[in-house]
Amino acid sequence: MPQPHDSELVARALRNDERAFRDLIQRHHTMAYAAVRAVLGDRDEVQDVMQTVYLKAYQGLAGFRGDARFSTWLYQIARREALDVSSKRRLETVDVTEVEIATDARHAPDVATHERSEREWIASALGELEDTYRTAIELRYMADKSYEEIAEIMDLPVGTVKTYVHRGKAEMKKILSRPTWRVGASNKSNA
Amino acid sequence: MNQHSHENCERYEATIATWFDADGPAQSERDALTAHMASCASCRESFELSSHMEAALVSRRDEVPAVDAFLPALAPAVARQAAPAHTHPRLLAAFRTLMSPAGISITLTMWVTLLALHFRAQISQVFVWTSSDRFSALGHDISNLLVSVARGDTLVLTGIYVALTVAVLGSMGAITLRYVRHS
Repeated sequence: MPQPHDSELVARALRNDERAFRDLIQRHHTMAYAAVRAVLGDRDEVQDVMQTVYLKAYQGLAGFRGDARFSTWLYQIARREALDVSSKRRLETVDVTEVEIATDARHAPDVATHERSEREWIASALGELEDTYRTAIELRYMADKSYEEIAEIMDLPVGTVKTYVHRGKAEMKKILSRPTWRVGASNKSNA
Repeated sequence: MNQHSHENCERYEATIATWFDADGPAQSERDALTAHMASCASCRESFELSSHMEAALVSRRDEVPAVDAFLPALAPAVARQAAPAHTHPRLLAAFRTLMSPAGISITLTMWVTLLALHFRAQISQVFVWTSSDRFSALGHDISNLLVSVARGDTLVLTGIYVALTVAVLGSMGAITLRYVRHS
């Protein structure tokens, strides 16, 4: 059975069809979540921001003109909301010394510690990227979007998106090649 | 030899960078990199780091919580919007009437009229200063008429002024808010 187009779901949601709105959000959830995570990282506020994003999307649906894609519209709400929260509360940067302790070869890490340091390993490198690179990478990987889809969501040319992703990954490699992280990487390969 | 090797490594770095893309390097380039890595520890290490990074990035998909975790909070808003029955429908209807252009016009007119009543003595003076005797007399007549209409307690009049002022300012505020939200 063919899936209804976003515009059809929007029209139904505007007629107070709650199910249509839920389907719409379900379809774009990973994208919105990745957009928020790209700004806020793994912070407690993400949960609250996501709820606010969907609430604002529902309340503002009547104002959605349809001249842009629904995904682009939702992305802008998610990003704006995350930036608002981010500007209100200064982002805490990951303390490198903590990560060093977690990945120090002298501490035999259990599985939970290893998984946490693995997440920190990649999250910290992402955190050092330029905002646009990080957003493109989160949409590519966390949201599993194609370059074409990211280009539509971010309202950028496809070539620019590819450049952002490749440059971002190149930057991440440089960051992860630092001696601090090489210990973590060797832990990974030893585990 | 080292220089030649370094140039090759730079070339292969570009292949490594796009290795994991669906439309990545051609098979011939992949084969060339594989052969090169057999004898180049630096490229092998770079490739391993890229693979590790790629896997870690892909694993971030598991961090996305189910959408259901966020939608329950929407339920009250959805219910409100789906069933806009108000607990005080008459009050809501009256408020909406007040918010309409006609309601605002009437309110503004009343407000201006009451202001004119309040400043009737000064207005009367304007008629006296700017008009002929005939019109001056008319000004006095109008002023007297307004005074007779406004006959009543000053406190009551002040109350009406305040209520109308609040209504007009509230209307303007609501219209501004609605405009800001839709822009």
